[in-house]
Amino acid sequence: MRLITHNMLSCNIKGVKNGFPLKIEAEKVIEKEVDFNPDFLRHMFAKIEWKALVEAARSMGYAELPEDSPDATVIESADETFLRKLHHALLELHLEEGALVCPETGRKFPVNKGIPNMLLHEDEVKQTVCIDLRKGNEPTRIRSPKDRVLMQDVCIDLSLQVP
Amino acid sequence: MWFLCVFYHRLLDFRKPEVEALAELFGEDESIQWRLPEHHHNDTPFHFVHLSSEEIAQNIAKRSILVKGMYELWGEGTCYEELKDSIQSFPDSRKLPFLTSDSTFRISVETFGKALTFDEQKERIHSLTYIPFEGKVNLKNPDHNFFLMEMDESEESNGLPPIVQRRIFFGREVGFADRKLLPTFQLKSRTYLGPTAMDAEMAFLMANQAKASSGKLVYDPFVGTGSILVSAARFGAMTMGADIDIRVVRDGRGPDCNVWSNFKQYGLPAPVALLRMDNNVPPWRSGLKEIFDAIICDPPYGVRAGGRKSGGRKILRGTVDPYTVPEDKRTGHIPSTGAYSLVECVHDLLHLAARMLVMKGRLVFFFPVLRDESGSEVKFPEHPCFKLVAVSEQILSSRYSRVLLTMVKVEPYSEEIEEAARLMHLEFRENHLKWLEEGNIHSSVFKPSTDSSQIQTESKTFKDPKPKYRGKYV
Repeated sequence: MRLITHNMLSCNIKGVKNGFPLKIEAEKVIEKEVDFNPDFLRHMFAKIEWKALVEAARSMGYAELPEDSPDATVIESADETFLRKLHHALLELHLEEGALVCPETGRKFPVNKGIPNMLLHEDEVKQTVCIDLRKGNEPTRIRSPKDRVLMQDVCIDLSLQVP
Repeated sequence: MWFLCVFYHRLLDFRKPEVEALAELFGEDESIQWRLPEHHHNDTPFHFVHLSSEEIAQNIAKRSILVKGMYELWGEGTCYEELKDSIQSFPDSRKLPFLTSDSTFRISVETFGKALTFDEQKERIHSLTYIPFEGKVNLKNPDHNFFLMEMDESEESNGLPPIVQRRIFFGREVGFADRKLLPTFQLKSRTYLGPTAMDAEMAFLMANQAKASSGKLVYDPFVGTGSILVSAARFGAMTMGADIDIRVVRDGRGPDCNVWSNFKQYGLPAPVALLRMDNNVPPWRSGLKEIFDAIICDPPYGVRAGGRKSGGRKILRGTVDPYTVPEDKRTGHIPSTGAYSLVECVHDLLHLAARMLVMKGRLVFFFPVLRDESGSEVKFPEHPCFKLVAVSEQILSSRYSRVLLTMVKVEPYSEEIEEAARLMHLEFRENHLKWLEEGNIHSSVFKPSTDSSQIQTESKTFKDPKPKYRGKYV
């Protein structure tokens, strides 16, 4: 998992307000070379949360990024030193094995073979209760496949705090 | 300038949208105009297209999958005398620069719907002596390539569209297609495949519709084996994919047979990221928006592969309360997933695209359509942020086909738009009750045919003497 991905992810367990940025617990970090593409980096730079990137890079063992986000002139200039550092941090550092930890709940999202597993457990997902509008307001038991198909599409998200 | 655009006779609905998307990619700022040659049916491989420059035409032809070539038309007619008049009336100032004595040229004869012997071809080439070619002939690598194209009235149509009158075209080649892409990337030789891997031709078409190019970030929320991302990467884009099934994305079928190896096989840069996540409950941070240049995907229709989302069957029904997994079992726990209907899946996709696409970014995805005899007007999913720019149908069987929808983001995402979109979605769902009552697309497609007896008698007594016009079945 690269830091460009890490910069986009947050913990989305129901009720969590500050799920970003996820702390990195690095067990295995490798460096993979990627072709340098300045256009792509310039596009991405505007979307990055800088502090989170610096912190994450540090936890992966790379401390070359400046603390404060440089302004636009540095990016647009022909001097590529900064862009090279950004390239290295964003695209060439890989978290192969480890975990991403939610800052609020401490829940760990494992990273295996470079792929983060962001799937939530059953009790962490905001549950939608199926209500069949035609028969009244009670959750109805499903009897046949036809009912099931109709039900899943009539589901309305009421954001009930299902325990 | 008007160019003659000759298409491969395949995937008819996809031809013009591809050219239009590529024209936009290569800097065409006026809207594209099309014109049919006289007496030609809309399905003909020949179309006149208006583009601002020869360079754009050349770039389009080179990257396109369905364009065979782009030509500057020097003359046309229904017979060779008319052709001669037409060519002679074409301004010399446009012809002479390509006929100079220090250049090399070649004239090729192509026919559609019939074959000519070598002598017949030579005869036709010699009939063009009134054109003052000064240069030398070079059959292998000429500076200028000229094409004489003949298309006859089709009695023995060979499945080509019916033409009322014969038509002959003569033109200078401005751009030609590089179909070598397809044999190289064909699925037959791909290391890691899945049941719904997108075939190479269609994947390239989708990447062209999305205007994938160097410096852009393309996302596929249903990545599977990565077949769509491979073509986007071939065109230079950086790619990113996600899937809910971790076995497909992380494990594949072994260390040398997974999504990464698919990219390695062709020497393409690997995806920037592969994630396991649920599109229904996405893990994007709240401030994130307008980050992808294009989203290209093939959502699960429920026919050969169904979609899944978090929750688990029993929880979604309400028969069981959501359970808490005990602490010690948590690390290896694989969360249960439940059925995810196509309609809800597409709504989540539109929501994701509305938020994450840059302005003018493109969303390209397939949507299945039941082909019923009533021919009723099909409604497609809509979202207030998007403008539908292309609809191309690919027939899959007599029961259903899929339509490639191309949408462009024209409005920025906001809370108000999200509310309007939710209402549109509920309305759309109502209209789809028809499919739901039959138990969804899967059963409609696999329903046994009711008129099997009729088929048996037909095949024995009736033999079709000439091939029927196949229309969109090509």
